[in-house]
Amino acid sequence: MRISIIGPEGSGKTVLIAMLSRYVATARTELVLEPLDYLSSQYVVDALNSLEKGDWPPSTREGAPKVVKWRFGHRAKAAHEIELMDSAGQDLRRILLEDKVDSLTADQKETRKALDGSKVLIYMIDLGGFLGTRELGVLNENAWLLKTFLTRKEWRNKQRMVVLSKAELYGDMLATPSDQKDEAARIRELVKRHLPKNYTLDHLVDEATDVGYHAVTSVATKTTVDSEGSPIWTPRIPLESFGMGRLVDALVIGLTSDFQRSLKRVRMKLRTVVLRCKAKAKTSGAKEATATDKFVGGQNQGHLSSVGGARTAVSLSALLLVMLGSLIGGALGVWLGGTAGAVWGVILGAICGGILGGTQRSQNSKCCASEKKP
Amino acid sequence: MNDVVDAFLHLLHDSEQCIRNSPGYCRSEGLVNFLRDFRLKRINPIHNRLQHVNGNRYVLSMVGLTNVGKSTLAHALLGHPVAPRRNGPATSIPVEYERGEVWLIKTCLLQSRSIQTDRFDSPRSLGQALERRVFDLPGEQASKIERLLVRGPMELLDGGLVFADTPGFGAAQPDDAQGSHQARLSAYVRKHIHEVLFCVSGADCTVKKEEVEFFETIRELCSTVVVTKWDSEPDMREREIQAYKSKFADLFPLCGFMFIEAKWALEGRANGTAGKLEASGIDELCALIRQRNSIAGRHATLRYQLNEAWEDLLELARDPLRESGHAAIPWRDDAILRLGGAAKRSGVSLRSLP
Repeated sequence: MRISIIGPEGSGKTVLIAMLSRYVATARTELVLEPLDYLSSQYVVDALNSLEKGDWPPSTREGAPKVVKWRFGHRAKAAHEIELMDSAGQDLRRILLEDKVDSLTADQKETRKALDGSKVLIYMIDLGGFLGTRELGVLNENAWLLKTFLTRKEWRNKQRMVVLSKAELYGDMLATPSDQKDEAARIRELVKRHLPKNYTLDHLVDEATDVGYHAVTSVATKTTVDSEGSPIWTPRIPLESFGMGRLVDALVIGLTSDFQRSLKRVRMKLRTVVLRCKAKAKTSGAKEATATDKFVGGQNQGHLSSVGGARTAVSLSALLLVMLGSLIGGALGVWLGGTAGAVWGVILGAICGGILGGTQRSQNSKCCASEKKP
Repeated sequence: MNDVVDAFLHLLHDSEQCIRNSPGYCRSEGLVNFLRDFRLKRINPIHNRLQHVNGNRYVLSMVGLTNVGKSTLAHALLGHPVAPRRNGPATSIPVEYERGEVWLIKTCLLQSRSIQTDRFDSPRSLGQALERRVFDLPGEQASKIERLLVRGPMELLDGGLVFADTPGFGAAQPDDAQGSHQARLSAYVRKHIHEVLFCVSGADCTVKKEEVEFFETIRELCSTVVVTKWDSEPDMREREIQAYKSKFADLFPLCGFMFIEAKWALEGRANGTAGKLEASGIDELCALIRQRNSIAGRHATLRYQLNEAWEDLLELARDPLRESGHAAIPWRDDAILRLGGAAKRSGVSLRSLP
């Protein structure tokens, strides 16, 4: 099973892979993450050697995507075979943004094919690529890469994660007061807040509800001054990382239990339907919005008159869940015990669907209530 | 404290880059150059100093021309006759004073990388032996000695501070090529010293050109100018101090000033005359040294310097902002938040931080 890590140059892919290897070996001994060949082991060793000296590993060379093969999983039983694909930023641009397949090199075509064949995709973002530059070319490129990751149709059925790297540099931004209690939601809000506004990226982030969000500090840093007196971030020795535990947990969950993932996917799709209904309701309610509507940091500060539309969407989703529950229950009942079994199956299925719908409804009611406040 | 200084450094640098990369940069070139200049001259030195303030060994040194009165001042500060004094040229061996249980001199030998230790019964016998090593050794022999470490029960150095007395620059040295003494002294200061008290003589109210030139070579390390042999009458003291500062302060930017007559301090202690001791001005220098004796004290000094830098930045930025057409400095979002967060956690208050 293949996991691919992609992201623009400087987003921290190589450092993440190297430190993940060390983390699992030292802090998660119930798991195994070991290289399957010499090249893969040397790749990690070289990266760790650089870091131990207080330097960053060199960027992956263009035209030479690294395929690092590891065995990953619980130590007790047969583990998954993982291929970690580390592409150079320049390669990534061509692979993702180039429409004409014929203009890609053989290596790039193979990389695109391999990415399309991956089960898990991790996209790394260094927010500095959006905040730190007003250079339109760089901003444009980074925005399109993220957009492609979120919308590429070949990838919609895969498990996807956005990993915010160098999280310690954005700790104060993450700590900014937010309505979101869940950390993943806070990270998503932070990413949305700092995306360029003219790419509809914040809507895409909202719609891609199956995408998980994590923040990691692969290596804690300190400031040194170079020969020209400019400050640079360098790895702090001894090497220290933060947030690796949650990322590893997410990977473990992602690689096990296809059924659980499928169920989650169904729920996510239903949530997407709900959100689209809400968005439509907002558009129709926009005429009633007050003149004080404005975006501040990517969040709509205006008064929303779309609560009625949102409630309609919630009721619809609850009904859908009840129907789905009934169908599944009925089918199981027929398979297990004939007509009587089918009847009981329908009843039980409807109850389960109703419970799921009720949970959905109470969560969305809270959202509706908070949206009412100007 | 490290976080605040790092954040300040990155704020200036990252915002410079941001403005440089934004459309319409040519209008803001003056602002970018101002931010860069300010960073290099004010914040980089603070960052450099911070690398040493957390260490166990912090070396504070007097540096000045020959015969400005450094050794007399050292004697008055340390309270024991352990600082070698003589008019005329001295060999170029720095002496470092540290607190210890017994009186001893450790001679650090360059070539053999070894240390020779000699113990003494009293500070007076130590002082005499030290004088022979500093003044009477032939140049060739003296060049084999890297430095002399003096240890003894000196109260002022209770917290682990190392106080260094360096040979005076500017005088002709026996057996020495012209300029090499000064070069060796400059190299020693850059390598071993963390903070400099730059001593100038106030006897004739002048500052020599070579003093200014040498100051420029070690400017980043200098925190205070100590004007020695300052024997003005109490009722004239304040006025004469102001006159001196208005005349010479611009030669020593970003330095505080202290005015001291070390001989009065020695007389005051010997005779028990509190008035003489107070008039000498030595208490102020003792207080500075005691503050440097602890990490918290050093951080307090840096905190003050950082605050001062921030205030100066806001003030000095007005002209570049006006020229570039910005109402306020266009800080990079994450960098300014980072500085705010770090300042709050460290208890540093920076006015008008967005």
